[in-house]
Parts: sequence; C-alpha cells; structure tokens
Amino acid sequence: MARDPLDQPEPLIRRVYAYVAYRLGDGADAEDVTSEVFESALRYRTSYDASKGEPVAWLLGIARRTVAAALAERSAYPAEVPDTPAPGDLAVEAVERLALQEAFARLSERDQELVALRYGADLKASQIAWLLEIPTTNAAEVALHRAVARLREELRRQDELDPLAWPARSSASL
Amino acid sequence: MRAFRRGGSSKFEQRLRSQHVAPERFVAGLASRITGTPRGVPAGRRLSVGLAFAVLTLVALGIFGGYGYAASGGNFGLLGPVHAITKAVSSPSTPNKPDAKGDNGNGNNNGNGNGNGGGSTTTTTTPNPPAPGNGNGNGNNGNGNGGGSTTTTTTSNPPAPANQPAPTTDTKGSDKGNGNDNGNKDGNGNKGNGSGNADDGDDDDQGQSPTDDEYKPGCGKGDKNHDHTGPPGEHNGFPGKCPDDDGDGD
Repeated sequence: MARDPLDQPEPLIRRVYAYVAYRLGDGADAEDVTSEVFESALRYRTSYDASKGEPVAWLLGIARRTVAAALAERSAYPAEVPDTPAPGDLAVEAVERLALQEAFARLSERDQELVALRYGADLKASQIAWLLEIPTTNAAEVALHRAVARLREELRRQDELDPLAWPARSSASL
Repeated sequence: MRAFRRGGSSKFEQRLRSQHVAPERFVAGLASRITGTPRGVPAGRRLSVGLAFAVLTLVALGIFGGYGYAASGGNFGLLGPVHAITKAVSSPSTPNKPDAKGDNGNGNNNGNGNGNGGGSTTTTTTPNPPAPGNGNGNGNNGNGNGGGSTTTTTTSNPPAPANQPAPTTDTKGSDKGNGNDNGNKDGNGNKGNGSGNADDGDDDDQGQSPTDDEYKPGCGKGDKNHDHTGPPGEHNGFPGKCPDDDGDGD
C-alpha cells in the first residue's frame, strides 16, 4: 500500500506556509494559497510517488506553481505597498521582521526562491537542487550562500539609509 | 558556507527561519480538514476488489446452477423473437401454378395465420399469377395477429388474361381472407383462413377448351352469384346443345 503523503499534516502545513509567506507575505493571502496547495494535494494524493522524494518536496512543487499563479495575479492587480511603520509604534521584533521583508523583496526572483525554500520550507540543499533543477547539490549550496549574502547586503544598505529602521539590529546578529 | 553545511547556526539564519510562522489556529484548522478527508482508494486496490467480486459471483453462479439458467434464459430471450420472425417469413403463400391446359380455374387457398405474442411480425404474400384459362379465383390470405405490430403486405392478384370479352366469364373466385386476431400472449395466433373458390361448378371439365367453358345460359355454366334474368332455360338449340358433362345422357 502506498504511503499517504498527508499522514502527519501539521509540520507540513507549517513549512508550506512559511515558504508561501516568504513569497507573498504573511496574512490572508499566504493562508489562502497554503489551503489551495493542500486541497490540490488531497485531490492528487494517490499520485504521490514516494520514490521521487519526501512529501514536503512534493508539496512544495505544488506550492511553487500556486505561488507563481498568485504572483501573476498580484502583478495584474497590484496592491498598495504598506507604509513602513514608525519605529516606536511596533515592537522591536516586528520592526526587524518588516526590515527583513523589505530586504528580501529586493532580491531577485531566484534568490527569493532559494531563501524561501531553505529557511521557509526548511529543505535540504539536495531537495532544493531537485526542485529548482540545479544540476548538483553543491551548486545549490553555492547559490544559496550567495543569496543569503545578498540579503545581508540589502539589510546593511537599508540600515545605512535609515539607521532607525532596525534599532535592535547589531552587527553580530548579521 | 561551512555554517550552511552544519545546518546554519548563526543568529541570522535563526532569524530567517523564524521570519514567517504559521498561525496556530490556521494550522490546526487546515490539519483537521486534511485528516477528516477520507483517503482515496488507489486504483490498483479498486481493481482487485472488482476482480474479487466478479470471481465470487461466478463461483456462486456455478454452485447454484446459474449458468444453465442464464443460458436457457438467454436462448429464450434471444431466440424467441427469431423463431417468430422465421416462422412468419418462412410461411409466405406459394403462388399457384397456372394450369397448363389453360382451361381450369385456380383456387388459391392460402391462409396465413400469424400468431404474435408481442413481437412484430412481417408477412409477405406472394401474388398468384394469372391463369391463362378461365376462372381465376383467389382466396387470399387471412392474416391473424394477436397483438404487437403487424405489417402485412398483400399483393393483389393480377387479372386473368383470358376470356376478357365474355362478360359472364366465370370469375367466381373471391378474395376471402379471414384472419382471426385472437392471438394470445403466448404467441399462438389462430391461423387465418383463406378460402379461394374458383370455377367450382366445373370441376369436371378437365381437358376441355376454353370455349367449352363459356357461359351458356341454362347449361349450368353460369355464375352462381349472377341472377339469371332471361327466360327459363330451353337450352336445346340455344345456341346449341349443352354438353353432356356428367355423361348421363341429359
């Protein structure tokens, strides 16, 4: 009997949601897309082939297509960009989160995908290589390292432009 | 790079991992929806269940003699209408051969009875060819139908070619077709009764010429259905002596 890929759904939901939220931002959109991903997974759960990878990789394949569709729809109907909150209005953690989100948004599509799959979906380099059709695992690791370096650079540049935007940041944490 | 290989221990990576956390209510709700959905049965399992059911059915039929019953039922259901049609088709009336001598009437007694218990019946009746001589009487085809639809094709008999000028040519034959439509459900229709009567007053004139069979008032050659309005028979001398048909010297 084939293994049910949705046997233990909660950890999978968290990982898929984190990936989707990286790509679309937290909130209702991320929840809707995550739900859509799992609806598709339920519909096609019998087509899951365990020999081709773990359930999370299979789910993220579905999630990538769903996110791409949501992004295409979003570009057709662009939403208003939320204003950057004033430093004293929100908690320090929330400010840091928003700063990272802004820096992430400045990355290229490829780098965003790499970071979302690695730190959102918590995939291994080999799984990322398989999903993004990178020839080798080592090449995926290198690409990922460069993407994280660019993200740090974006945060540093943002700090130089607006030193009050991320008050809790320290060079050690970066 | 080395930090990545070790699983990423830096604070920055931890921050990246905790950047987007799914709300607990959302996770719990979606998980309950997923686990509440019944898992689809794989195609292979469905196929095996179907095969097992088919085998069980065959075994049960074998045990209780269902094969013979099914076979007999199949024969009845399939061959019953075929028999009915075959019977109907194989019984078209055969046309009577015209009398070679040309002087005899043809009596056709083709009665076609078709009993139909619900199916359709097609009856084809072949026309009788005209006799070259006198007295064509064709009793055509009684068709009985007991329910169901019946298509009856009866071709009319062609006229007799001989003796046309004689107004009183013996044409006693009548088209009588008596079909009894009391067919019952079992497909037993009563046979139709067709009666053909031709020249029934002159059965003993075999071998005579057509001229001898002409109408001669008072000589018993007349049409029995035709009222004689002339003077009482004085056949001696009009127009000649009547032939002695029965040989008794009259």
